[in-house]
Amino acid sequence: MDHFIHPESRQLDRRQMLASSGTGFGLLALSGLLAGDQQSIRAAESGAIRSTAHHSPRATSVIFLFMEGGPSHIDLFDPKPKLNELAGKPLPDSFQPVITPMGEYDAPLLASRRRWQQHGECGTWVSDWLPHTATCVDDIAVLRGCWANGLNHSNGVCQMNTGSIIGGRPSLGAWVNYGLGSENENMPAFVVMEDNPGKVINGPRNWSAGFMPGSYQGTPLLNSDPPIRDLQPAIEVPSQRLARQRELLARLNRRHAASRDNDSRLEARIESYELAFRMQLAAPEAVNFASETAETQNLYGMDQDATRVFGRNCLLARRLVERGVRFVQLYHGSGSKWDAHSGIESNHATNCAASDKPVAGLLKDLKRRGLLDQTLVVWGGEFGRTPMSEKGTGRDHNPYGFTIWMAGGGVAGGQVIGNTDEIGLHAIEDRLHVHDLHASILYMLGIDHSQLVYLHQGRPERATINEGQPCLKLLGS
Amino acid sequence: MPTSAKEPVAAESLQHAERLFENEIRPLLADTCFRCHGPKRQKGKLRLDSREAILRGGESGPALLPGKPAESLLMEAIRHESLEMPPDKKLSDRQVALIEQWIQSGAVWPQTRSTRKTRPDDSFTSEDRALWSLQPIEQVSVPRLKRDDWSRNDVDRFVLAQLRVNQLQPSAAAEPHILLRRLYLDLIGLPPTAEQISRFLADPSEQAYQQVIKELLASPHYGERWARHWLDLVRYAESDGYKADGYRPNAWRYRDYVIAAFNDDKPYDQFVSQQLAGDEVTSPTVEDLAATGYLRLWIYEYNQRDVRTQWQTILNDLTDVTADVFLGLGVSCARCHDHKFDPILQQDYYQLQSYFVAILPRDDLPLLDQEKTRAYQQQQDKWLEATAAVRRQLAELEADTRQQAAEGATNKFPRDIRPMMRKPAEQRDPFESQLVAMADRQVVRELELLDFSKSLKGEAVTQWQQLSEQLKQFDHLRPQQPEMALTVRDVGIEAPATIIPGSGGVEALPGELAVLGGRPAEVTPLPTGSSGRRTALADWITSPDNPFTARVLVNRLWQQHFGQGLVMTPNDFGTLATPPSHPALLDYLAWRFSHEGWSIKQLHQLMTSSATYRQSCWQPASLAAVELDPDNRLLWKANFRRLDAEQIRDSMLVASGELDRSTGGPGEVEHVRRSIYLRVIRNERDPLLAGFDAADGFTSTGRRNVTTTPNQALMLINGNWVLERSMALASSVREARPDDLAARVRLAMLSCFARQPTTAELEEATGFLLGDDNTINEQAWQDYCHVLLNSNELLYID
Repeated sequence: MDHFIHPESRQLDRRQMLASSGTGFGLLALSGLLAGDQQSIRAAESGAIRSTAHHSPRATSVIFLFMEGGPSHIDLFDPKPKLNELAGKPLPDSFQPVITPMGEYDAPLLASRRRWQQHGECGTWVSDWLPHTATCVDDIAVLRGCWANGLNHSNGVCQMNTGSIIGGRPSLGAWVNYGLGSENENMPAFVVMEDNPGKVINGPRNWSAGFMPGSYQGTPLLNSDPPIRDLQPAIEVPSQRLARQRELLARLNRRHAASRDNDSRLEARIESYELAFRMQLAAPEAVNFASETAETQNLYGMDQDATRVFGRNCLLARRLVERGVRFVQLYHGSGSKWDAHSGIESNHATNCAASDKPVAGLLKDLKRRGLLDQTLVVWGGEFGRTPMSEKGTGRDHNPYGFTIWMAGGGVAGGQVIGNTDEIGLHAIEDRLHVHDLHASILYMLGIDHSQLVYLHQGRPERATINEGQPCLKLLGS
Repeated sequence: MPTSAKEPVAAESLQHAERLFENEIRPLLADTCFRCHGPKRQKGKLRLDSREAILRGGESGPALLPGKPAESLLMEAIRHESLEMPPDKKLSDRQVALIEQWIQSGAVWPQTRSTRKTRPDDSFTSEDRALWSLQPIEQVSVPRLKRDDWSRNDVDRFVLAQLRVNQLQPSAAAEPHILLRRLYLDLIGLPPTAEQISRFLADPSEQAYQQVIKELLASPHYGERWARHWLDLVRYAESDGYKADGYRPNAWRYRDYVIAAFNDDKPYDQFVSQQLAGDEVTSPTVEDLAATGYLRLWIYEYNQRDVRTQWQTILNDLTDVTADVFLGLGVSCARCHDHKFDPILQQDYYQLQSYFVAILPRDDLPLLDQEKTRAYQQQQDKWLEATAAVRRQLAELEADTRQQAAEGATNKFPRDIRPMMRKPAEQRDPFESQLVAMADRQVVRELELLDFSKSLKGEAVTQWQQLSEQLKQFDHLRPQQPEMALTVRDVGIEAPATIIPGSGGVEALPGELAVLGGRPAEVTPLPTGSSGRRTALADWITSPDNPFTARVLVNRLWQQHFGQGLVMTPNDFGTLATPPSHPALLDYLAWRFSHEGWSIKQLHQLMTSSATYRQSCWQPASLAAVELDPDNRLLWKANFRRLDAEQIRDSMLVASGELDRSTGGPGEVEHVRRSIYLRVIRNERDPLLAGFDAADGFTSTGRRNVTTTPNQALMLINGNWVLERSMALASSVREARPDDLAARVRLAMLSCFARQPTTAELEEATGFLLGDDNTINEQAWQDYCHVLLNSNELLYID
C-alpha cells in the first residue's frame, strides 16, 4: 500500500525530527507531537528523554493482572497466626484504629480459615487458595508491605492506575506509552482486557491518558469479534467496495495535502488510515488462537469452564507482548468481584479458582518461551482486606497494608519483601506506597520515574506525582 | 513610672525603655510571635511586628493598652488566662515579667526601627516580581505605521509593527469561501449551509463580511459554541465522576446559564461575580443561582465515609480550578509547599481557599422566580395543611425504623465524626456543620431506601398502608416538584478556619497574593447570613487592577480565533510560560476590555474584523517567515487547525442535513442536536467526542490536546454513527438532485467543504459513481458520501 505514503517533498521539520528519532517510537506518539502539542514538545526538549531508557531496562513489557475489588492478603500471601489467636475479639488497643468504609469499627477479628504451606526452593508462604500460583513462587517477589490512600473502590482503582485517588491523571500504561512508545506500530501500545467487559469500576477513565494526548490511552481489547471497537465496518461491505473507498479517500486527502505544503498533520492523518487498515489485519491475527496447541490452551485452563475466560485473556496477553505491545492490563473480577464484605469463603474460593491456573499458566508459558525475562508481571488489587470481620463472614477494605507480587522482567523471584503487623492491618516493614510500586514498574522498564516528565499547566508532571522510590530489593542480591 | 500612657516619658527612662525593647522585647516577640502574627501570617487578623499593628489589634481587639498591663489582652494571652499564647509553649515567668514591664512603661517601640511594610521583601526575588503577568495592565497606544494599506483595525497595527521589526510581511487574504467557513466555525461552531455560502459568494464585500459577523454574533448558536470553551475550563459534567458516577439531572442549568450569558454578552465582570457569589446578592434571581452551579462541578463520591478528607479534597479542587480559570495560574503546587517556579506561596494557596471555605452545597433550591416561588409555596402549604394529620400518624409509625436506620448509618462514620452528627445542629461549629452536611447526604440516601411495608410488622403494616393510601388522596393538591438547582450557600456569617497544613495551626485569611502586596481582603458579612468572602473574591478578580483577569480572558479568545494564544499556555501565566508574543497588543486588548464594559462580543468583533484574522494559511509573502518563525508566533499567516470534537460531530450533522437546532434543556444520550447537549457522563464519555480529544470534565482544560490516532480513523470509516450520517447525506442530496450526477456532487461538496468541486474532482466523482449502465450507482454514491465525511478537508479549517 505504498501509494498511501507520500514521500515527495516530505521535509522533516524540527518537530518531526524530534518525534521520529529514537527506536520504537511509533506514529501514535509522533502524531501527538505533530498536532502542535507544545507541552509534549517541551517535555521532549527538556530532557524527558522519551523513547530512550534512562538506564538499561530489565523489562520491555508489562502485564498487570488486576484483581479488582481487593483480594485478601491475609488469606492468600500474608499468613497471620496471631490473627487466628485473637479471632472473635475486638481490635486490640495496641493497633492503631483505621477508618473503614462500611464502618463496622468494633467488629471482632475474623480468623483466616486457610491452610498455609511454604512452597518452592525459596519457601514462600502461599495459602491453599492458590495452589497453581504456589508452584511459581521461585519466580515471584511477594511485596507484603504495600499501602495506598483510596478507601473505596473508585479511588483505590483510580490510584492503582494513575497514582491519584481523583480522576484526571494519566494511567501508568499511558505514561509507559508516552515514555517508550510501541514496538509494533500495527498494534496499540497499551491494551486493556476485562473478564466482565464494561464492568470495571470507573470505566474507561482507568486507562485514559488524563491530561496527556489521547493517543497514549489504553485500547480495550474486547472478547468479541471484532476485538477492537470499530475494527470492522458496522455493516458488511464487500472488500472490493471498501478498497475503492480507501483509494478515493486517499486521493482526496493527498490532493488536499498537496495544496497545503503537505502539512505534517495531514500526513499523519493519512497515515492513521493506513495504520488503521494494518490494525484491521494485525489485531484479528493477534487474537486468533489457531496456532496455539491444546496443551498451551490447557495450561491456561481454557479447557475448563471456571478458568476459560480469564485463561483466554492471559493467553492473549502473552500473544500481545510477543507482538510488541508495551503494557497489557487484565482485570480479573471486573466490577469489584473480589469485594468480599460478606462470605469471603465462597467469594475468594470462586475468584481464586477462576484466576489461579490462568495466572500460573501465563508465568510458566512466558518462562518456557524465554519471554519472562523481558516481561514484568504484576499481580494485585486496589487494596487488601481487614483482619476485622464484616457482617460476620467478610472483610472490609484495607488500604493500610496489603500484598502485591511481581515476577519476571528482571525481578529476582523467590523472595518476600516487606511485612504487615501481626494481624495484617498496617504495613510496617519495607512499606511501599502505590507511588513506589509505580516507580518500581517504571524502573524495571528502564525509566527513572523522576525523569519522565510531561509539562501540564505550568507543572512538570510525573507518573508518581513527584513522590515514590523504586524498590531496589526487587532486583535481588 | 508614668501614670498614663499619654504622658511623655522622661528622657532617661525612655533610653531605658528602648534598651529593654531592643535587648529583650523585640527578640522575644520575633522568636515567639511573628511566625503567626507577623508579615507572613496574621492569625486572628493580628500582627505584632509594629506598635501601630499591636495597638490596632486583631479580631479580639487591641492587643495592649500602653501603661496598663492589667487591661492588656496580650498579658492575658501570655499568662494563658483567656487566649493561650504562644499555643505550643508558655513563656517563662521572666519573659512574662519583661513584657509586663514593657507595657507598663508605655510599650515603647523606637520609631526608627518600626516596620511599616505590609510584607517582607525577602520572600521574592526581583526576578519574581518582574514576572510580566504580575505587572499592571498598561493603557498602550497603538503603533503608528507609515505606508500601511494592510491594517483594518488596531489589532493589525500591533501585529504589523512586530512583523516589520522582523522584516516580515503578512500573508495574502484567504479566499472568500475559506474565510466564510472559518468565521462560521469560529463563531458558532457550525459550518455554513450551502445556501449561506451561495449568498456570501454572490457578494463577498466588506460590508457583507461585517454583516456576517454581526449575524453570527447574534445567532443563538454563538452561545452554544463559546459556552463550550468555558465549560472545558470549569470541568463541566453531568455526573459525579466516581464509582456510582451518579447522574446530576439539574447540572444542565449551569450549562444553559453559560450559553445564555454568552448570547446576552453578559459583561465578563458580572459573569465572574455571578458564578462565584451569585447567592450572596440580595434576593438572588434564578439566573444568579444557576450561575453558582460553577461551585458544584466537583467530583463527588457518594459513599465516602472519610468526610473530613472528602471535604478538603473538594475545597482543594475548587481552589485549583478557580485559579486556573480566572487567574491563569497553576497554584496546586503550593498546596503542599511554596511554588517552586512561580512566586506563589503555600500561604497564598490557602488564602485563596479561604474564600470558599464557608460554602455549603445545597440541592433544594427551586429554580423559580419570586412569583412562581410564592405560588408554589402557597400550594405546598395547602397540601401540608390538608395532610398534616395523616403525615403525623405516618411519621409516628415510621419513627422507630427511621431512628434505627439513622443510627446505623451514623455508626458507619469515623469515631470523630459521629459525635458531630449526634449533637443538635445549633451546637455544631461551622466546620462541623459542613462535615455533617456531607455525612447526612449518605444518611438520607440510606433512609430513602427504607421499605416500611417490609420493616413494619403485624397491624402496623396494614395501618401504614392505609395511611399511605390516604395520603395519596391529596396528591391533587400537591404542587408539582419544581426543578432544583445545584447551588451553594454559606454555612453562616462566620467562616470555618482555613489552617495552613504544617504551620502549627496558622489560619489563612482572604487576601491578595503576597507577591502583589498581600493586602488582606475587605470582607463584609452579608445580611443574608453569608460570610461575604466569595463576593470579596469576585471583587478582587473583577477589579480592573487585577493583572490577570482581563489578560487571561483576552488570551483565551485570541487562542480560539487564531489557533494559539498570544500566551501559548492559557491556564499558566507563570514563570514557566513563554511570555506573550505581543505583550503590547495583549495589554491593549485587556485594558480596553476591562475599561470599556467587559464586552466579549466586542472582542470577537475586533479580532474577526482584523486583516490578521483574514490571512490565508498557505500563501506566505515570502519563505523567510517559515525559516524565521516556524511556529507563526508573529502571525504572518493564519493557523491551520483541526476541528475540535464538537465541531466535527456538528459539521457532519449539518452536512447530512439532520442537525436539530433546538436549544437548551437536559443533556440527552442520543440525538441529532448539537454536541453541547449530549449528556456528559464522566466515566462514560461519548466515544466520538472522547476520540477527538474533548475535555474530560475532571480538570480545567484551557487548551485541548489534538491527536491523530488509528482509532479515530476506525471510528470514522467503520463506526456506525458516521455511517448513518453518510447515509443521510446521500439520501438528502439524492432527493434534492435525483438524476443529475454533477449537481449531486456539487451539493455534497458544498455541504461538506463549503466550496464547489473543481472540474477534475467532478471527473473523478463521475468515474467513481457511474455504473456499467451509465447511471449513478447508488451504492457508490453512498460510499462517496461516506468518503467525504472522512476526508481531511472536512476535519480541518484553513
